[in-house]
Amino acid sequence: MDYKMEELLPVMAKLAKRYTSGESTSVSYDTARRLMEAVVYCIKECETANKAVMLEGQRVDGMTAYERGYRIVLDKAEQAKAVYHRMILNFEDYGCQNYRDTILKGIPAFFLKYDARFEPQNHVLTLDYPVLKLSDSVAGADRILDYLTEAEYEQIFLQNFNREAVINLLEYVRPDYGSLYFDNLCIPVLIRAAGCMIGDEDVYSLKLDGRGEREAAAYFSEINPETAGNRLGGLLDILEKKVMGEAYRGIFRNCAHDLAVRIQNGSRF
Amino acid sequence: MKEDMFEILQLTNQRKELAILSSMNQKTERFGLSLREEEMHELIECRNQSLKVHGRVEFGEGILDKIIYTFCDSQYINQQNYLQSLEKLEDIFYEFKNAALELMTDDEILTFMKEQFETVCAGDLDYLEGTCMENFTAAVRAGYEGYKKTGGRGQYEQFDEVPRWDKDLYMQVLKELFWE
Repeated sequence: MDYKMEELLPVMAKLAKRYTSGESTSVSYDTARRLMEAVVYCIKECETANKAVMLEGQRVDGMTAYERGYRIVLDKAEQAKAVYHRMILNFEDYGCQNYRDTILKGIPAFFLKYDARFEPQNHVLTLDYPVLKLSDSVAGADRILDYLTEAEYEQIFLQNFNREAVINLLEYVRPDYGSLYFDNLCIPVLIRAAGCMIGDEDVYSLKLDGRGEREAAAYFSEINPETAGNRLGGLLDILEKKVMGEAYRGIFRNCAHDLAVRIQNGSRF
Repeated sequence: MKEDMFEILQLTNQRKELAILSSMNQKTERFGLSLREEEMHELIECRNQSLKVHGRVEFGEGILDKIIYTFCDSQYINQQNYLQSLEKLEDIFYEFKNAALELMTDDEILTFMKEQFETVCAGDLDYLEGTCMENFTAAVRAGYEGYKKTGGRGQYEQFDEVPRWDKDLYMQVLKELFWE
C-alpha cells in the first residue's frame, strides 16, 4: 500500500468522529484499530481497482482513496447480493443441513449485519460449508463475493446430475450425511464421476458397479501421488468442460491432488 | 497494529490544544481560575499519559476544554487545586468512558460527574471515582439507559448505597419547629 501512516491517521480520525456521531472525542485502542483496518481495507480496494484499469500512476490523497474504496466495497456487496439471489432461485441442498444452513440462513445474516463503513474487513460469517476454492487471505465483502461465486458455480455443476443420484451417492458415502456431512458436496460427485469416466459408465447417473469400481481403483494404484493427481486432474478437467460448457472455469483440476491422495488412501469410488 | 501510531495523532493535535487551553483562560478568569503555560503543558502531558494508561486515543480537539468549561464554576475548585483537579478529572473521565463501555457520550459522562462532584461527593474526587462512578457505570454495563433521557442528570440517587439527608423532610421539620 502506497500511503504512509501520517496520511492514514487523519482519515481514521474523520471516520472515528463519524463512528461516534460526534458525541465522543476519544475511542478505545480496539475501536481505533478496527477503524484503521477499515481505512486500510478500503484504500487497498481502491488501489487494486486502479491497477486493474492501468491508473497506477495517478495518486489521490488518502481521504479520496478511502471514499473510492468504500464505494467499491459497497458495489461488491451488491454484486454478492445479486449472485446470492440468482443462486437461491432453484437452490438444492440435497438434504445436507450444513450446506442448507450456511447458504439459506448464514448468508442473509451477512447482508443484514455487514458494516461497509466502519468494519468492511469483517465478513461476519464463519462460512461453515467449504467451497472448493477460497483464498484465506481474502476478507470482508471480497470473501463473501468469492465464496458465493464459487458456491453458485458448484451448485450449477451439481444440478447437472440426477438429484436422486447425488442423494444416493451421499448416503453411500455417509448414511447420516444429512446432519453429519461437513465436507464439500462436489467431492464425492467428482470422485464418482471420475470413476464412471474410467469405467466407461454414464457420468450423469453416478452409477458404478463392482467392475467399474475395480477398474477405477486400478487406474490410480501403483503410481506415485503426483502422477495420480495429474491423471485425476485431466479427468476432472474433461468432466468440467463437458458439464459446464461455456461456463467452464477450470477450477476442479485444482483439487485433483488432494482427491487423488484420498483415493490412494482407500476412499471408495 | 501498534499503539505508537496513535501517539502521532496526539502530537499533531498538541499545538492546536495549547491555543484552545489559552483561550479557555479568558472564560475561567472570572472564576479566579487560570493556567500558566507550563501548567498547560503539564496538563496535556498528563492527559497523554492517561490516554495511554486507559488505552484510548483522541482524534479531534480532545476533552480538556469541555472538562474545564464544565467544572470552572465548581464551588470546590480554586486556583490552588485547579491544575491537580483537572488532571484527576480527565483521568476519571477516560477511566469511566471505558467502564461505561463507550455507551455514554462525553456530555452525559461530564454532566453526571459534575452533578455528583458538587452534591454527593462534596468536592471529593476520590469519592467521585471510587463510589459514584463505579456504581453508576456498573448499572450502565448491566443495561441501564435512563441517563439518555436526562443527559446524565439526576441519575445517581437510585444507585446510591448510602442513606442520605432528606432535604424535604428537613425543611418540613424546620417549618414545624419555627413557623407553625
